[in-house]
Amino acid sequence: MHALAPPAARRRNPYARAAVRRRIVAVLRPTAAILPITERFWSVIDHGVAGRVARFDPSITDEIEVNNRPLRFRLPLQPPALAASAESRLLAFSCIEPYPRGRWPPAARQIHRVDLFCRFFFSSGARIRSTRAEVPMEDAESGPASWPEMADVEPVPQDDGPSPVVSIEYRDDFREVMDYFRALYFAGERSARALRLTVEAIELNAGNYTVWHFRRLILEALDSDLLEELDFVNEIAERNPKNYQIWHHKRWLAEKLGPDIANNEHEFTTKILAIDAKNYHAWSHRQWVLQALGGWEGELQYCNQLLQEDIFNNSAWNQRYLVITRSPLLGGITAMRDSEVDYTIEAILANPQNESPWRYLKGLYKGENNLLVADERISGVCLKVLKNDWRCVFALSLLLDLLRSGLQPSEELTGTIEAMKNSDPEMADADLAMTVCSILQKCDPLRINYWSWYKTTLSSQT
Amino acid sequence: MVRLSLGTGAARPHRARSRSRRAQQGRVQPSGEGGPPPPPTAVPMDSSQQPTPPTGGDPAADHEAAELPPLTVTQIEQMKVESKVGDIYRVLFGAAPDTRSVMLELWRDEHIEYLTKGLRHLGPNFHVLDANRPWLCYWMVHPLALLDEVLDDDLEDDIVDFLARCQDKDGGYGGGPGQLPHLATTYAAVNTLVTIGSERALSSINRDNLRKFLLRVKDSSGAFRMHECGEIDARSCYTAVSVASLVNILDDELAKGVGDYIARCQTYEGGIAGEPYAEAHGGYTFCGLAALILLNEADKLDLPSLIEWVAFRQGVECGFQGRTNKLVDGCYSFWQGAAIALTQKLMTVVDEQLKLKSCSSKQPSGKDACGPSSSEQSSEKSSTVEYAKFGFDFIMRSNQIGPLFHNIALQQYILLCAQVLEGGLRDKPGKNRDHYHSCYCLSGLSVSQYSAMTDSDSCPLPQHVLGPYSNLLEPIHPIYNVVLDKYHTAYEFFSKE
Repeated sequence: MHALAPPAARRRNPYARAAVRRRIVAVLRPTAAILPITERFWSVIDHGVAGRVARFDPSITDEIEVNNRPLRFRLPLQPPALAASAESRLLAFSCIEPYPRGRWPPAARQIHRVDLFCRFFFSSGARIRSTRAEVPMEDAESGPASWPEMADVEPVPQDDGPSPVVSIEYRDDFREVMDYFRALYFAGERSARALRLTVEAIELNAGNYTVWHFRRLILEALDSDLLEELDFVNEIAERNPKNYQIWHHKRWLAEKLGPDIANNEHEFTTKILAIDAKNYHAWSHRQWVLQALGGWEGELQYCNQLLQEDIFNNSAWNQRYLVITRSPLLGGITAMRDSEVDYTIEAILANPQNESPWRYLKGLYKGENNLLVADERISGVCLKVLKNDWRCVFALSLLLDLLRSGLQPSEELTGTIEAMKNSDPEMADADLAMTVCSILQKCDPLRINYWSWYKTTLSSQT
Repeated sequence: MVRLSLGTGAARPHRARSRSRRAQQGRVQPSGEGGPPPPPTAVPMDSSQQPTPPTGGDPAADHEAAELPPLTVTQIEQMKVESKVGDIYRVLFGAAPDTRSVMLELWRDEHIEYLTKGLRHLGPNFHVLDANRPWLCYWMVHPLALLDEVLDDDLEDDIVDFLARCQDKDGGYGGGPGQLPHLATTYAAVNTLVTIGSERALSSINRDNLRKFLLRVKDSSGAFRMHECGEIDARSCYTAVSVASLVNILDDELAKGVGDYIARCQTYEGGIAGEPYAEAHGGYTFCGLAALILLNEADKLDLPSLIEWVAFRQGVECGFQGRTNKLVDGCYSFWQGAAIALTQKLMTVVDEQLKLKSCSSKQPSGKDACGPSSSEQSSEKSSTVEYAKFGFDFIMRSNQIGPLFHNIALQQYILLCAQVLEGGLRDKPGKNRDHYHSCYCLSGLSVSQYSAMTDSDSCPLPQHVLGPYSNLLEPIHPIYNVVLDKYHTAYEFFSKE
């Protein structure tokens, strides 16, 4: 059965690994009495290997409350039944943490396991505190009030009025920096000390677009070294990858630095995407750099690589679309369509429940309904998928679109659809499109309203 | 929607069979009660009646020699969310009908307390939102209005005063007193003032300067920049057009080119992206569609494709996701829910577009085989277009069809998964509450409650409201996202020229 034996662990079967973990936890659970010591022990190890290891976010609780009753989410301690229900399979994976990208160093993997262990131990809620270090402010002890170059500046407090609303309880350092910022900003100063002050302000609140705007004005006025600025903003972007202002600043810089910086920018976005492959800002920036500054050479290959790592990554599929249609090195969509259809169909057959390639396939024929209908591979892939899984909503949906656009189905296809009717008296309609729509109403109940409306559009056409 | 396949994680060209299994099985089918109108039945997470015929071996059995490729990051993330949400729904389905009704309650008092507390005072960790304080006002004032809660006069006056301090002397509102004016904070400030709705609030908006600000941030491409020399995207277009339309300063000069820019942002998937060629995203889809409706140019989009994309964003968790293959999030209840709700009033355009599509595919040779197109009406445009009327006419229009998304399921997600016991709402179970999600989850709840009615302000029937009828919120104007009554007040106020 699900023995603790090494043979189970040797095979790359994640269910076995989870079973092993559960067994170990069950055995070790009684030692929870020495909780404080073990927690300390693990946290010391944890701190030892700090840095780039992605860590489970401690702000995410694993307790959900429903009606005052906390529902703990944790693994069952008994091994799953042989005839595994989907539920136990799902729960078997619940301990897997998101890992940013492939190969962790062995030490990091070890720490990761330790992290998981402690979560199991402390299902009552205790957890290792985050070791994410607070980025120390430069001259943390002394704010601008103590800078000699600011001696003649009169700080300007925020004009919140006598009875403020949504008033934030600023910390002293924050208030001090912003008071000095306002003084220099209102005065319209463009100096080195103002530049230095914006760094402090940005570190405290990277989302303050006024500070970024002021910084840009100063950089222009002082004709500063923009490559140094690029290093600065990249460092901040790594810590705040989802901040509009930072990415806009990068775009402004890149525009000024010109095509030479394109590779640099691509390297940077690759780095960010390696941590979060769907970061919208990173993708937007990458696309802008490609279109404004170039660097198309390795882009299709990059998409291939990302899709190899995660075929569900819709951002990568979207990027693929950009490359196919806009790359000056490829022939445009008409030239690329054929090979792309093959690639997409491959992806679909590997994972028919993955929505991205289905949308991409339709997208390849956007505005060309006749070609879509005429391409036998399209109806072919629908048929193939449906034969394996007649309830695949994406296949049915694409088939429906084809039928509505005038596809003359083959006998095989007609036969398959007829078989799906399950001799349901409701679906006695002769029309194939109506039949498929009725099937969808049954198979995809979440979208019942959508399919019902779709049906009305079919009947109004005939 | 992500239906997880526990088979392959990467594309494999020569696999003999494809394994597709659902990772979750619904258990208890809720039964509908007979007699007087049955309460809306909650939707099971995966209501497939029969499992798919097994296509391969059982992967859980150890003795299977089959090697499973690793799951991808997307799949893992999705499974985690599904399991959390599944836990909650399982409790719901296992409960008796009366318990279910209690579980589906909207915790009004707790939410009101959470929101009102923030209006006066916020802790030090909010310094990251120091450049977004009008947003904070809006994220609190708007849901309070949805919950039909009246603010103290003093508080209202103070909010108006504060926003007046955020108003720049040359027009527009910044993130705080003395900050550079920004379109997003302008949008939030104007919406807050409209929600407060008093004469004092509405007259505090300096419309002439606001118009000058909008012209300053208008780009040569037709779109708008978020602030002086700021970024351009579908958001900026929406915030600019929404604000201009609300205070009745929208004219040809401001409207020129915006529609075309947004139309270019529609992607191959059907949704709208932030910029041309970026990924289709729920937030930008709402922004793009709403802006185009206000400009009366909704026909520039491929609406059937948009509707399909948005409809498929509702997943097994019953809430909406922002992008394909990403995770469900409570705030998209509004962004996606309102987007698809807007299309309910655009059915004439949709039908025409569908007709054109089918014509062109069935008769490739005939160019004008379909008779007069809809462009005729645009040629009859008068010289002075009253743009503010578009927003008004739109809301007075009846819904031509019912909701195109599963409005009950959406309400289920919001009430069960997004609510936090201490008050406020959140993204998904496991995340913390915040004001932004409180605002948009409740806005989404309102949209879904009213989506089945023909008129925008008629009272929903009990079967359209999940949980006790006391869950009913105030109706909103889905384009601007302000409470409908407040919109009418503002419309009258700003039409008086």
